[in-house]
Amino acid sequence: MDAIYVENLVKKYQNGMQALNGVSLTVKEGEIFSLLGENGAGKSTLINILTTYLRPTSGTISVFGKDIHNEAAVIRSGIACVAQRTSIDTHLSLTENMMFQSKLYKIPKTEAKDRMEILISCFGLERYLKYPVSSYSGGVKRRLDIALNMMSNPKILFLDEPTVGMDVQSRMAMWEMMKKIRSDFGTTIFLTTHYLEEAESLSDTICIMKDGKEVLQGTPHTLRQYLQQNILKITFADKGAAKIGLKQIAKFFSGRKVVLHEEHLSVCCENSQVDLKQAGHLLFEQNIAFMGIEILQPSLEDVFIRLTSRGVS
Amino acid sequence: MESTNKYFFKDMSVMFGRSMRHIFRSMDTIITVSITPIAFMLLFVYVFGGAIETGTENYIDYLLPGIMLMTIGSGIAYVAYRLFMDKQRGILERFHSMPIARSTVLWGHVLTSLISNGISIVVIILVALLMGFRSSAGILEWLAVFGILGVFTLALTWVAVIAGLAAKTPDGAGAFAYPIIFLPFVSSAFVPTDTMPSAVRVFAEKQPVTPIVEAIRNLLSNQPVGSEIWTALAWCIVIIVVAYIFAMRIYKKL
Repeated sequence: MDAIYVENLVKKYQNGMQALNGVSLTVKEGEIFSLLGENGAGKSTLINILTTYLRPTSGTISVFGKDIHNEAAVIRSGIACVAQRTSIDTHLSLTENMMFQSKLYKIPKTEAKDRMEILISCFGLERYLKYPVSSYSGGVKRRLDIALNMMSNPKILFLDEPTVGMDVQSRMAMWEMMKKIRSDFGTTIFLTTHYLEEAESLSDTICIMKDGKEVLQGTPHTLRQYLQQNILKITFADKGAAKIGLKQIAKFFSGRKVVLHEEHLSVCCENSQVDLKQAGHLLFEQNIAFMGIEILQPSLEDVFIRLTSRGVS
Repeated sequence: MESTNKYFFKDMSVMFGRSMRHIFRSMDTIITVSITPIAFMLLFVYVFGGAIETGTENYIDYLLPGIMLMTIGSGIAYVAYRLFMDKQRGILERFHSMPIARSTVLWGHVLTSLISNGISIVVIILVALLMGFRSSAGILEWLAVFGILGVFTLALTWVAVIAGLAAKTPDGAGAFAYPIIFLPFVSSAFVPTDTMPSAVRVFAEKQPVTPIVEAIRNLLSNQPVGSEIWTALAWCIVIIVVAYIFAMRIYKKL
């Protein structure tokens, strides 16, 4: 069964702004799903609708087969949402925060205590138990925020830009934590991000959004393959040699995009093997010295920039 | 919705427990809602009291109802502040994606306001007793006093909910309470209205604090209560209904 199924979802705010423009997507059970898009693409609006915080204008949404309009209360008991802002209560202790969450989900006290101990250990929060929550660093607060949202053992955990503003080490620790949540608890994770490397390293499925609509959904590998356009990279000894090479290469591959980056050239391929052969042949013929020539696959960043800058028909 | 409404009172008590912890762990709240009114009471009784002619033997007997209303005014400012902070920190967002009845979030704050203000009032009365306050009121009169104060608190709390939900800054959330805290000064709370200039006197006699103060004062001195008690309650009920409707309208739009 799909964890989330969204079809033709539209959200128009009262001020007339249309945040979602017929978005459709599918999230499989147990996967890490990343929603990728620039600021204003509609990611947060979509997450707010899926977590039942906002009502959509039109469209179909089902969460584990349950319709979000008619069975919102049932859906709420099976999901948890970690918002962009850390929403822990700094007047309560770490354990009080977690027990408070469990009370609202009507989890029996003994069961809640057992689960709390597991989560405190799993999220490495033991050494913070004796300190007030208000003294925690941003990264620890974020960990606690996720841990307390796991108290209800949600089937789906929504994370709205969970690593925004974090340093590299904290971000990588957070990635490990997300993988651990999925492997240890079998939770489906739906996250929004605008970090490409985050989506690429974590996700089973990535959906790229633009202007309130999905432009592409697939695995990171599928998305990279989407462009089907490899790059030919020719490296020269220095900038001068690269400029000489640029003249000849641009002339030979006229009509193609050839870009000079310091001491190397990038050429958009039509047929990478043929292009490689021809470029090598040309450089030998013209007696232009070069250091290396290779075919590069497009990165996810290339896909993202291409899709979000031009759009896809 | 049925399954969430079934746990309305349970969820509200969880929310109430959380807000009460906030109050007991926040020294500035305790100082503002209890110690400041006590300081005012000491100031009025021992500094100004001798120069004020109220027609009562004991100035504190005259003063106490006004101090009680001032205490409630200070207390409800924190309702707005706490609600605003819940909104700003994304805690309301988190609550709204949980299997709870949405309105329990507000009702938790409202119940906290009623109980915490009740505790503050009891503390103020105990201090007043130490300062010489005496009342000939019976149990029924005391219950009526607490009833009026409860309705007054409820009315102002719903106004505070509007301020907390609509404010853009923490200062903005608390600022609305200042006119309420100072409203007793332009009423019969501290001095009789007879000595006031005519324009001020008209305002003082018509504004809601005066009938509430008069009603409580008469109840505490075991005097017959005239129509002012009904005027007082009518004011409070109108404020409750209007403020509740506006608060819910704003809350649903969040």
